[in-house]
Amino acid sequence: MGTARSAPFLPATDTRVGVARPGDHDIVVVGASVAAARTASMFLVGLHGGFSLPLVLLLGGPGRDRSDGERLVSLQAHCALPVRIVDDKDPILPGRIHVAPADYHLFIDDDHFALSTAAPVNGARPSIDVLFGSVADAFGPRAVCVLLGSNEHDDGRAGADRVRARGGLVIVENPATAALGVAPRAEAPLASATVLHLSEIAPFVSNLGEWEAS
Amino acid sequence: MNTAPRDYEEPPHGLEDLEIDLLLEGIARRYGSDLRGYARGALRHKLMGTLVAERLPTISALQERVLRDAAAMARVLATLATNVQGMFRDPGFFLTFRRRIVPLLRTYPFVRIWLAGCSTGEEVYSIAIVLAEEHLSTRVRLYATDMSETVLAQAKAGTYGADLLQPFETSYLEAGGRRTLTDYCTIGRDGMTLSSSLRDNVIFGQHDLATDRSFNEFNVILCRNVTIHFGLALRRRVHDLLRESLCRLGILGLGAHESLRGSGHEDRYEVLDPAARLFRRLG
Repeated sequence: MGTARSAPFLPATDTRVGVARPGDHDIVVVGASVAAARTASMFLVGLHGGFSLPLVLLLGGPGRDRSDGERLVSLQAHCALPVRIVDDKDPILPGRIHVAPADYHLFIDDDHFALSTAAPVNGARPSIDVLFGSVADAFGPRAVCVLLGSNEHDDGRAGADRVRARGGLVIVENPATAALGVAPRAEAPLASATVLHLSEIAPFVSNLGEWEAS
Repeated sequence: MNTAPRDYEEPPHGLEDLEIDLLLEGIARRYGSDLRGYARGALRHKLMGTLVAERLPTISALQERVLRDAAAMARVLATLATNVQGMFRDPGFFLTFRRRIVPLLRTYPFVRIWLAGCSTGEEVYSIAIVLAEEHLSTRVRLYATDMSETVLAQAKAGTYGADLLQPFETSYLEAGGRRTLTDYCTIGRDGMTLSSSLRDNVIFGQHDLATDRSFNEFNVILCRNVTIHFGLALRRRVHDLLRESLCRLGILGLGAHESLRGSGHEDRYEVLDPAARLFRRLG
């Protein structure tokens, strides 16, 4: 076991991806940390237009550079599915991209969203850790969490661990494709995550949500 | 505010939820503060932060301390009542308030404004400054209420970190401010302190939206980013209270990402400004 020759012979994708099947999951939550807005757009472009699970997107990093409205317009341009900025108590709807609003934490309570002005966590509000943790509590093994892009503040790692602990599926972007070259560090606890190249994540996630053949 | 290492192997509605239920039940019976209707995810998050601050291992341990120690209860209440938001948060709201609401207020001989859930007071001073610049101060009385005496004391003191002056100033100018924020505060060792003259027409009072009744009739109620912390049923109850407390054609202001959907009062208001989330009571 564990010989030095393993790395060069590993396939580009983790072979454990086969364990995830359509119908196993009820929600997909994507956390894109600092400077990953462009990555998030590329992910949305690749998402199947018939995707039928609820998808929640949290863009980390400074919130003041763009208004919610501008973010909405730029994201919708990349996506066939309807994109909406979340309002407090909005229901979680299938086949829709729910985008976390700037300067609130985003929680999930049963079948709807809840916002909070609790203090930033490790300097972040919204915080990926907070959202992932809430999704882990609410959906347990039916949750899929995706960590995109570089992650210099490590926001998302603790939340991803909690999703794993509750039996959910965690996908992280392969460091080789992440912007700035400092991707979510795939060592230690996140080793149990499925590591995919950016171009593979959208097809993989699309496959988890059943769609009508077009 | 990272939580200590914890055992997350429990099922989603397992032991921790039971502990929280018991804590809230105990608080309601011991102190009369009813937190049972709060939105669960955010409540759990804040309670976990409290565990770290109190150096306690479990919610059950927190329950024991809170039931026996009123000061610990006050700290929990203050944590739950704390809205971390600066002065002139959402500058567009204050700009719209100035342009659309102030002209309406001028038509009344006397105006009562209720800032429900005022937390540490940043919004109270923001509104007070707008009213001062519009020469309306003497005709307006501001009622600023919160459930926590601790945060009310902070609101009355009006002292905020000196490092906040710059971001507050930026928001103040974006909100249509006519002077400079430093005209309204002094900088001392404790930070920036808003001038006491801004408080001349403010009445601070303890009021719990979850348990207390309407106490006056208002021309304007601002309840921004407050009912986000409540669950669906409590939020409906609070909207009953808010509407009951508004005079005819009274104005309700909500937070930038709040709506009346699910409040039970969707048809009883007209939208005055959709972006600023300003509504006017009908009938």
